[in-house]
Amino acid sequence: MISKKLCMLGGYAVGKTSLVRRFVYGVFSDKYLTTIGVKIDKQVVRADDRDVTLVLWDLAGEDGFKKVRLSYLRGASGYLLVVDGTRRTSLDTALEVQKKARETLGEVPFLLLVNKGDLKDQWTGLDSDIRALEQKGWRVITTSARDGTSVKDAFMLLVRDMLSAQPDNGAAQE
Amino acid sequence: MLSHLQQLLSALDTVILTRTGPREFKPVVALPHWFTTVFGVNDQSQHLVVDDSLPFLGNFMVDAEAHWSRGEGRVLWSGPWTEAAEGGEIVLEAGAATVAGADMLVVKLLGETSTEVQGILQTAREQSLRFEDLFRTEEEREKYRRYLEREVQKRTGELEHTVTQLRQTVDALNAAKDETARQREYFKSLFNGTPEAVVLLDREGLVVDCNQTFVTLFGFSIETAKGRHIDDLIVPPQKKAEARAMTEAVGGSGMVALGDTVRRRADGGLVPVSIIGAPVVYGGAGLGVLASYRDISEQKSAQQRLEDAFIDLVETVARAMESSDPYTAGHQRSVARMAHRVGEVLGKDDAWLEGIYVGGLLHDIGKISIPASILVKPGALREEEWLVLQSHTIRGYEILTGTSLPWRVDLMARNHHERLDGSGYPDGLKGEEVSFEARVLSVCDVVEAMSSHRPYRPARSLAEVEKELKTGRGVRYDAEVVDVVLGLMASGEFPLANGDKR
Repeated sequence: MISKKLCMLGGYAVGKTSLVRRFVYGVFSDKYLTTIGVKIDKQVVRADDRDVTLVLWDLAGEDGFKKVRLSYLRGASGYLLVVDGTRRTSLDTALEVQKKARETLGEVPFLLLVNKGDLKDQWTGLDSDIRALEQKGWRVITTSARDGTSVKDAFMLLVRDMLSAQPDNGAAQE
Repeated sequence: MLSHLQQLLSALDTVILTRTGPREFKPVVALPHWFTTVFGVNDQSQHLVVDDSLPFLGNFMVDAEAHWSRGEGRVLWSGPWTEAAEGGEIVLEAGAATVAGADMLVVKLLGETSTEVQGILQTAREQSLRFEDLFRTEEEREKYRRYLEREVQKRTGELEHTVTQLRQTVDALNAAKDETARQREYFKSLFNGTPEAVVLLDREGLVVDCNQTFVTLFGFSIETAKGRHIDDLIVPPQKKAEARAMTEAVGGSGMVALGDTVRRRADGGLVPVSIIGAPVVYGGAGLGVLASYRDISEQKSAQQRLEDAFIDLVETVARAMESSDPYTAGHQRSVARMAHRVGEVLGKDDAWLEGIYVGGLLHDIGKISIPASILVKPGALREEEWLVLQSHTIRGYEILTGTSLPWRVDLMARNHHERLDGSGYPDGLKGEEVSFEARVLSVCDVVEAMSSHRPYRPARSLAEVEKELKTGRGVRYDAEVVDVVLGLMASGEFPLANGDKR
């Protein structure tokens, strides 16, 4: 079976862990509990007629207190870069993290998830930035870990991209 | 020993494994329950194999193997990771080190440490989120920005106002300081430049400061004078009471005191001074006394010379008047001298003494109008001649009245022949109607006249003079004056020989 390492990256409290829980366990909790270090989950998905074991590395969010350990990114086939649509600053953090990820992993597939889509009325100041990123070729998906909107689609889209990028399960295999 | 170490490591939730092959490890200590649950290794006989089922350790192996290959004893830590275990989550951390040639893998349960770290991070982030929540929308940020701008403007304005006030205060302080310095300099120059000796005393009368004139006048250096009581410094013993009264008057009532007196120099010599003492008052409270001393030695000398000249003049007039009556030559001066002495014994002041002396010198000036034939007539006078002679009192009065002399010498001349019992002339005054000066002169005139030779009789004996005084005491003559004169006669001072100098 093909195994792919997928990293969840972004600032703190943007919903990385909630997205994984929604995707893997189909649940959501309002309670915010900061992640220490990294938490690894596995989920078997089927994509392009193949079973793929996704090894999900949910990395602690980056902020002024904690920085992402780049060694945790090693071997990742792709990553989901998560921002909080209600917090403009989370996009700035995501852009910094993406820069480090690209330097470490090279050009691997990633998606920008603008999470907390259920609170879209509270989004501020992101539209123009997101349009600019889309114009650069970034793929951006609005998700909601709370109601599950586009969560599975986002993961599966990335899985397919990862498979396309590394169809033989070579170096990225865990 | 090994057993104890194992128990300790177990208590520390730390498992040590030694590398037995590529990604294969053998536990060297007893395995805690969490280790068995997470890694499926039940006891020390089993090996831990790091394969795809352990993705975190698998990832760490890349760094660990590089570390082992360098044979470093320092522990390379993986950083924490979270595993599901025992119905919850536990946080672990792995480490790699080479000890005594053996590659070791360490796995420890972070437990409370991670909970603590998580708690701190959680709190910090939640607070940060709450802060971000306040300014989520552009409108809120703009609102806050405007608020901040207003606050900054307001605070800047307040600060500028405060700075302006501070500047003004500093300027005012500097100006006040300059003014104070100027005034101090001005006062100092006044203090030191004044021709009078000035001393500043505190409330106790101790010298705080004095000027150069004070130093020159009294001969004390400033250092010597400072801290000493002014009375101990320059007041002679006989003037202590007077000085104390003056100090108390100024210090107590806050009045300015004036007076001419004498003070003592450092060499013990006395110097006549005119004193002005003024209270130093600040804020309604008396701080001390400022006293100035003017040396009036010259003034006193000049005054004395003037007085002496006046006396000489009066004596000259007396002598001129007596030149026509050789028998009474020197009589007035003798009477004046005796009256002056009586006044001294009675404690009269200088002004009174001077007045009685002048009065004595002029008491018979009216005789200038009496014909010499009567004045020098040997034998008894006829009644009309006697009446003419008695008129010398009225004539003396007429000559002397209206003068600007400070003493009533005109009355002394008129009344020196009055008697307490009214038996005298020219007015037959009685008792208190006769001035004290006239009573003194009358006694001295009788003593001097009885003791002197007259054309119509020889000089009387001392006993006769004493008898006259004693019989007349309290009747014709003032008793107090008689007592003094008798005392002076007993001591040999009286009567005086004609022509004695004062």
